[in-house]
Amino acid sequence: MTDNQLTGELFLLPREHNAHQEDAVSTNPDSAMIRRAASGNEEAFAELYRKFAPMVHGIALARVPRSDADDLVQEVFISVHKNLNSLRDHRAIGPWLAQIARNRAADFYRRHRTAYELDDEMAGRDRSADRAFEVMELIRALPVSYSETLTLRLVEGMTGPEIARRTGMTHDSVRVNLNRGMKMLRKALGKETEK
Amino acid sequence: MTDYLWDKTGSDAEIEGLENMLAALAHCPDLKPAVRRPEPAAAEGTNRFSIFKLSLGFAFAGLVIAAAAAFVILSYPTKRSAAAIELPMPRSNKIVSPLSADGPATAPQVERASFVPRPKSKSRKPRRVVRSAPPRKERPQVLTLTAEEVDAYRQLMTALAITSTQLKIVKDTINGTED
Repeated sequence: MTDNQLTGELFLLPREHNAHQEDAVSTNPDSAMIRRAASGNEEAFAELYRKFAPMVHGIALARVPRSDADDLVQEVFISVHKNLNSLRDHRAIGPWLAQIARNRAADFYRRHRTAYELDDEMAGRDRSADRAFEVMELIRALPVSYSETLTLRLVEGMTGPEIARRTGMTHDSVRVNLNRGMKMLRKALGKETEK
Repeated sequence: MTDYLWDKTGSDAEIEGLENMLAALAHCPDLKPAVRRPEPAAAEGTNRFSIFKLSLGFAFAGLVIAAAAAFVILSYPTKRSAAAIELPMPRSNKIVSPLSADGPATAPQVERASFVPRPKSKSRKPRRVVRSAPPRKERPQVLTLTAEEVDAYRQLMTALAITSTQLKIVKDTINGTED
């Protein structure tokens, strides 16, 4: 494992007491929605889905091919639907979802290792999206914490503070992951151009 | 680090270009969650229906078992209901042909053996042999054959004689060849 990977793993630590995040933790507008969703309210669950599906999709996309990311999102939300009552701290919904997505992606990778190595998404993709897939491959090749944060930022269009709020990471972690990840991506893109 | 990468303030052509390119891979907001919790009323109705179906199944199974038990009980001959069943059967396997000169050409004498079914005993005790009549001396039995049966008998004897003759010829041929 390289230094970068080690550093990347460290920045996946959930947020702890941090001065400029206290406000985000103390006010929790999601709590009522989660309570309603847990009691079987369809609209509340759909709202939960709308709010967190891009984050789950970004986390999935950083680990699995695009063709499987949507399925993984569905798997995650099915699991959430079954186990939402077990979530005690409603403030932790984002980190909880993110962790489920990471675990599901890891399971998926273990199940489909061979297929993944064959890169099945090369088969039926649109010509116009070729470059996007290539860049996504480069992002995916980065340490997982960088690729996850960069995917949420560049693919899903979330801002740094939004990523921190959704995933439960600290602002500093997100900032560092974005900065270092972007630097490595530029390097990879430069190498690719040289080729 | 530019502010654009952090919170999209300002501008960065390179990152904007990457964003535009990679937006094609973003999550499609049209996709809906594939989970749907059943409505409480519907769930209750379904539950009630499944209980009804389960009860119906049990009732049917019970009915089938009861019918099978009744059939077994009624079809098994008990001690009281089972009278002695008399079966006509010859005492010996010897058949006296009406064609032979030795056999009597009188009326057939068929001895009747009696069979009394034993009552079902729960414990495994040594079985008792129930005899309805004292043992008699062995007598040659005579079977009376109808005209058709006699004809068949003759044909069978002829066929056996022919077969026997042919077998003898084959045997002689083999022996002659070997010699």
